[in-house]
Amino acid sequence: MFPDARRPFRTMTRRQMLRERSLGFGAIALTALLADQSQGASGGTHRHPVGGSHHRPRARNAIFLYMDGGVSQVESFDPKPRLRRENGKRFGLKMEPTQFEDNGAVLGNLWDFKTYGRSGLPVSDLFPFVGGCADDLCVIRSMVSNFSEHNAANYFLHCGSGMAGRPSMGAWATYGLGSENRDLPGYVVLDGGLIPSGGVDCFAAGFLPASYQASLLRNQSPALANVQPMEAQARWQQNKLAAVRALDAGAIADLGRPDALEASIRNAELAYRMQMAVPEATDIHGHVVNAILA
Amino acid sequence: MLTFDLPLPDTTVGQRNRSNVPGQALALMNDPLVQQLAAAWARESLKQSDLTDRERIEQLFLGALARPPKAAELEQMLALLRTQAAARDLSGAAARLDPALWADACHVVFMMKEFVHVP
Repeated sequence: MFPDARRPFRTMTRRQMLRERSLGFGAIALTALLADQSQGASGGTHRHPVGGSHHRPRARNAIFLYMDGGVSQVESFDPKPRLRRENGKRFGLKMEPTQFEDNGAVLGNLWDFKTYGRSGLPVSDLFPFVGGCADDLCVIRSMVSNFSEHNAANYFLHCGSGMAGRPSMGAWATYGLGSENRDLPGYVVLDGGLIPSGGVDCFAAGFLPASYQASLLRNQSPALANVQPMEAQARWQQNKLAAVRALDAGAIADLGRPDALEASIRNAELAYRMQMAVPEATDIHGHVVNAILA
Repeated sequence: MLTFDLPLPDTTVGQRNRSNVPGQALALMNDPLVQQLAAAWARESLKQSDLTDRERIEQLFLGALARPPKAAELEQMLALLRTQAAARDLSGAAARLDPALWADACHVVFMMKEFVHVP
């Protein structure tokens, strides 16, 4: 298994075979592999949006709260007076088939609604304090889905299609707008303990460059796997990483396909900074204490 | 292995995802399994205790990358061994065969982008 370094190397290596045999078919495959990885690599990952934006972005961040097993819209922000009028009667509209098909009579909303703010936003009595913020809210009640089951509906919500495989909203936003943050990935998912039905494909990059998929932060310390350096002394890690950097710089020149490797190298550098940035960012307790003391 | 796009066993996958994210770099840097494998590889190599540093580096490159190191790479690896030996307070004969030092060298080879990306 370990070739004796003192004897001449006689046999053809697998790599040589792939490069030279069958008209260099292996080299073509390798080029395709690197091209795929390089797609967004040159200026397209993380900091620099591909192609720039056609207007100046104003939003600094987007926080999407996906609340699994969510509260009924007719008991929160979407009053349906007809439900109370037809309470107890058979449901008069067309119903899409569902997995359990366990449908009964109409149930009217159990809590009342009041209107709030200058916009007259209707909010259920379950959320009186939210009602007090009515003029800071934009409520969209017109969202519909063609999917009556969890997985397809989740893919539709996160990615725009009932089938997995398309980029998620976070991937699109990061691809189009980039990220100012040098020390953390631009697109993160805070795992509250339950990944939505459909799994991590809900946060995928789809056909966008793979670096736009979400980084999952767990609800534990450390939030990200392997974010703690394994070396007892920082210097030991730094020496190793410096050596890797030097070796990779040589490889870039030789392999003649800088983009894919540059993306990989950038990820490695980001990973190094994340070792410090992730514990700091996910120290919720510390942030709360600081906010209270401020 | 999920970090490196291993599909779940209860599904079929026509084409595996080929992601390239910081989590993968972190796994190669800090995952205990990677440490253990680097240490094991170093121990295995050190069984041939009569190799010079240059020969040992050549052996590592041939084993991992199927090619000998270029002159510049040889110098870079030797420089790593020097600085790391100093950082670990090792010197002389002890350094030449120190398992932790060579585990560091093996770990560096694992982290080379060529090792990760080039078949």
